[in-house]
Amino acid sequence: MAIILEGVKKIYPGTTEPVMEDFNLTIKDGSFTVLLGPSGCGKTTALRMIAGLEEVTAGKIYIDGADVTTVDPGARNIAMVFQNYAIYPHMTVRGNIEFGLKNYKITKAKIQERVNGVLAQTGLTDLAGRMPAQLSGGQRQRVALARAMSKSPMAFLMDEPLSNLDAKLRSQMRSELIQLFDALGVTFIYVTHDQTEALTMATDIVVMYEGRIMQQGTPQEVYENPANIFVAQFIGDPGMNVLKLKNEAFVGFKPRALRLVRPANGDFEIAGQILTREFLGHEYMYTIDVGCGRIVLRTGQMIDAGTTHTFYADAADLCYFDKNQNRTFEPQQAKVVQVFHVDE
Amino acid sequence: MKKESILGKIVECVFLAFLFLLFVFPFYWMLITSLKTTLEAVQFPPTLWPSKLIFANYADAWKAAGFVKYGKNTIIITFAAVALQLIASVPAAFAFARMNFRGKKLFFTIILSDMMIPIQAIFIPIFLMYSRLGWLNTYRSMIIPFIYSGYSIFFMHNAFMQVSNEVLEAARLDGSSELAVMFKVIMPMIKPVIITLALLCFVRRWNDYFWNTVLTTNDTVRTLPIAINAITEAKDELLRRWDVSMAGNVMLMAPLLILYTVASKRIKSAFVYSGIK
Repeated sequence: MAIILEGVKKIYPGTTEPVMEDFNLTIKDGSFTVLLGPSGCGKTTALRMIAGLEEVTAGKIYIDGADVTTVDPGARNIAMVFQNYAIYPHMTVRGNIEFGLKNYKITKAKIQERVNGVLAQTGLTDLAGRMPAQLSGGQRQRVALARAMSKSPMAFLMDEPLSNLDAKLRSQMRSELIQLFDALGVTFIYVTHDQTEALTMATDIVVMYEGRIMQQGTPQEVYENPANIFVAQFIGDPGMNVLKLKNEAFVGFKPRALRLVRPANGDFEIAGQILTREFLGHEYMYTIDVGCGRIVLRTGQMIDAGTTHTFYADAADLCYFDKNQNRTFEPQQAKVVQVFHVDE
Repeated sequence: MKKESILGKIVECVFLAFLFLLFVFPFYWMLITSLKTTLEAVQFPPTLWPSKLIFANYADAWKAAGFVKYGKNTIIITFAAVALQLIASVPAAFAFARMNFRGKKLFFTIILSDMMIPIQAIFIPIFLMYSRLGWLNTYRSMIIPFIYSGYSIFFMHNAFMQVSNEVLEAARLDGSSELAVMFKVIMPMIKPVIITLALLCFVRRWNDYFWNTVLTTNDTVRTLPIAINAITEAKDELLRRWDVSMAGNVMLMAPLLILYTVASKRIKSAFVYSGIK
């Protein structure tokens, strides 16, 4: 089921500034699409408009070819999982799952069959009689998932569903969501600001910033071939080092691309002093003062803080951006003026 | 430090004990007076315990205040007013708290400002209005004006505001209509608050003296508070029968105490209610 947002504009009541304008997005049928971006980029707004929880100021939303712009949330054949689970606190686990099904004209026997099915699928059968207050965070999230699954929706919408879980449980749930996606074969739309979630689960990532789509592509495309400086610096841990050149263009390289020995194809070098060294377990992260700002290096090599070195990058590891901060494949040869950060 | 904290605790206990006495003493006074003789009830200095327990005061009060007739009136008026007030206030508060419509802020402001108008300023026009409608001395005049309550709408509005928006959105995504969201999702979640409001309305209407006096010119639909007050107002006695009046008051209060005891757990949870997030 493809979902299309066409020329969508959104102005929140009581404000005059649109949070997004002429927003166009196509979510492919059967994809695990992650809307990724910093807070305030409009990703949750986009998701809520798809769900019908937020009115569209202008533009159209199509689900499976049908215009649903003014259709009630309950009639869009979608299910949503919220960040804080949003399970009904006064109903048992079973009651939570049944509640939605009772609103649709489904026979009692069929409801029981479906509820028992999703309870078993999510490992909640033994907890069916419990109240939400008696469940852990992970179990509540599972109830929210089971409730969504029970409706056999055409699309699952998820708004940062893992952000309230601890790190261990989050990674476990990520793997479970991937399995669920593979098993159900329906469209998943997932909102997050966490790039690890995006890179690990998505088949399609939409990077957003200030109500605009900065890039849409597979995780590999977005990671390897950023379309602009924003994506380059947003994706990666940390993001790309970008240096502004005298001709107003930019050159960028990932923190792991820097090396201490000149590579055979090395046509970039920069001298700098190691300011700090952070041990990350399997490697180190260094902050380097290069005179016109600070860049970051990640390597397994141990270098002492305070020492000065020349750092090199392979030509293949360099990304160039034009003065509009968009990717260009023309190598730029000019003097480095300053280290650049997109939010400056 | 430790000494200070013990001292602090003592001060706290003394203060709480003082407050306890302050609030409980009037009830104690009412109870003991209701068991005294007419003479002992007005004796000075007063006694803190009746020299002889006179339970007959209760039978006298029952007869003197016409508990059967006025009790029936009180029950009909109170139950009808509370039920209708809840039926009107809960959906109104839900709409103000959780729905968007034109003029919402204006109407809510009007409701809030209405709470600030003292009844003394408006009771004469209201009396005249009901008099012209021919509603004086009818159950209608004792019930219908109390269906609307700005206070109840405001009270429920605040409770509705505390429920997480996502839960309501989840219900809408589950295909619920706004009415179903209200009845099946949000109302069960704030049940303690509704029970508390019901009890507060009940107490207000049950004990009401002012409006019941204003809106009646004869005793057809008069209620117990007026009847009990009439005991002390009676002119044919040499002494005012405070003992009988207090016995009547104890009987008037008894249903409220029973209701409160039954609902107290819920009421406490309504006041510590901090939203189900």
